[in-house]
Amino acid sequence: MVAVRRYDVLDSPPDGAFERITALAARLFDVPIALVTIVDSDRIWFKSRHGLDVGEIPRDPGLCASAILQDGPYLVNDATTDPRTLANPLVAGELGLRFYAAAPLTTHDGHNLGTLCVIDRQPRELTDDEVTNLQDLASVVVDELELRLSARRTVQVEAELRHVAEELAGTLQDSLLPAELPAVAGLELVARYHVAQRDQVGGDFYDVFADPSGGGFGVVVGDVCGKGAFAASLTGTARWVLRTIALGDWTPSEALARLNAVLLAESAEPERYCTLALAAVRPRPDGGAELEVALAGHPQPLLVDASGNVQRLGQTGPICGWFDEAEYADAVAEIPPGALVLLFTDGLLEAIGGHGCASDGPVQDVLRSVAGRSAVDVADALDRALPADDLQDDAAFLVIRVDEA
Amino acid sequence: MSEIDALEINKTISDGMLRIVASGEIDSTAEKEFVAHVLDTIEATDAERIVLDLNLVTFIDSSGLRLLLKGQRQADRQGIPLTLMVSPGNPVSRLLEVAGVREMFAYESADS
Repeated sequence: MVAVRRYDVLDSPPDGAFERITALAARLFDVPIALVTIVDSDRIWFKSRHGLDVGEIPRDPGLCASAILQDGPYLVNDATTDPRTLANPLVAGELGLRFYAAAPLTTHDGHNLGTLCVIDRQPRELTDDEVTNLQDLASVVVDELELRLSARRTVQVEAELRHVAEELAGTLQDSLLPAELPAVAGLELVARYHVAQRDQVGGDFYDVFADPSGGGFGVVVGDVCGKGAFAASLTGTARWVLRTIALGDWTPSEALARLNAVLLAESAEPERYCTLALAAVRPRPDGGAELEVALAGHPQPLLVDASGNVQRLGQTGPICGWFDEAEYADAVAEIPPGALVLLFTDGLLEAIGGHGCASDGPVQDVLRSVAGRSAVDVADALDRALPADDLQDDAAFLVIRVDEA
Repeated sequence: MSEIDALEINKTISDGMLRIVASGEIDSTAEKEFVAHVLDTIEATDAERIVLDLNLVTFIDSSGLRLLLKGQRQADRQGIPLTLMVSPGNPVSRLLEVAGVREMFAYESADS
C-alpha cells in the first residue's frame, strides 16, 4: 500500500500512454477487455480500462487482489471450472468472466502495485509466448509509472529549491532596502520595488538617509549591472558608502566621485558597475523644497508640478565603478508645493513603455494623468501601468512629493 | 515593442582592419555569443584597427553595455584602436548617452 501511495497513481486522470497499452493488449490477445489495475486497501481501481465501463470494484471479489500476491503471471483459463474462481461473483454474475490472465505490475524495488490483465467471456489458453508478451507489456506499464514518479519528484525538488532560493533572495533583498522610509515634515515619500525574478536578488536598489549637514535627507535610486550575489554585495557597498559620506559635508556629485573610487578600489570583480541618481533634498521652512541631484549613467529623474508640467532633472555623468576619471555634476531644482519628483530605474521605462523602450514618454504620460495627486496615488498609478505578467527587468522608483502650501 | 531577436555577429578583415558587425539584441542572454565572437576575436586579432558596427543592434541593456566596455578595454590593452559605428537614434547610441559614456568611445562615420 505504501508503494501504491508513493506512486500517487490512484484516482489520477486518464492518461494516453496507459490507454494505448490496454488497447494494444486487447488487440494483441483478441479479448474484449484489458485493464491496468491498481490494488488499493479496499478496492481495485482501474488506471486504464478497455472494454469496461466500471472505474473500480471492491477488493474482495477482484481477481487482481489474488494476482498481485504472487510474483509470476496469474492465469485462469476457464473460471467456471477453476476452483479459485468458481464461486466468484464476477464469474457467476453479469460480467460472465471466463478467462483471466494477469501480469503483476512489479516495481523496480519489488512491490506489486496491481496488474495488467486481459479478460474474455470465453475460456482461453495462452501460449508461453503470449504469457511473455503480457509480462513485457506489464513492464512497460511499470516503466511509465516510474517515469511519472521521477518527473513528479524532479518537479517537487525543483519547487522546494526554488522556494528556498526565493526565501533567501527575499531576505537578502529586504536587508538591502530600507525597512521603512523616514517621516519628513512637509514631504510625502513612497518607494516601490518590483523584482523580475523572485529567486534572485534584484539589481535595483533605493535608499533614503539622513543628511545632518544639509538639514534634509539624501535619496538614491540605483541599478547594479547584473543580479544575484554580486549585485547584492555592490548594492550593500553603495548604500553604506553613500550613507557614510552623507554624515559629513557633501554634494551629490562629490559623493558619486567618491563612490566611484571606492568601487574601483574595492570591487573583487572590477568589470561591473552601477548607475545611480543621487539627490540631497532640503525642505524649506516656508514650504517647497530644494533638490540637488547628480547622475551616474542613470535616467534623469522627473519633476512634475501640480498642473502636470514635466521637467527632467540632472546632468548625465558616467556609470559608477568603471572609469578612473569619472566626473559628475550637480544640478539644483526647486520643488514647489504640490509638485513631486520621481526617481526611477530604467526597468520602469521598459515595464511601462514595452521591451526596449528607453524613452520616459510613457512614464511622463502616467505622471501627467495623476498630476496634483498624493505620492501614494502616483505610485499606485505607476504600479497599475506595469504589465500584469512577469517583468523583463527589475523596476524600482521613489516618489518625493512636497505638501501643498 | 518588438520580438526578441538573437544577437548575430559577422566578422571581416581586410587591409589590417577587423570589422565586426553585430545585429539583434545585446543583453545578458547574448553574453556567450558576444564573448566568443567579439571579445575573443579582439583578443586573437593581429589587425591594426577594429571597427565595431552596431547600427543593426535593436536592443541593448546594461549587461550589453558592460560587454561593449569590456571590448573597448580589451582593445586598449592590446593597443589596437577600436571605433564604434552607431547612428544617432539607435538603441546603443541612446544607452551610451544615458550611461554618460559616449565620450569614452571613439566613433567611425558611416561611410568609412
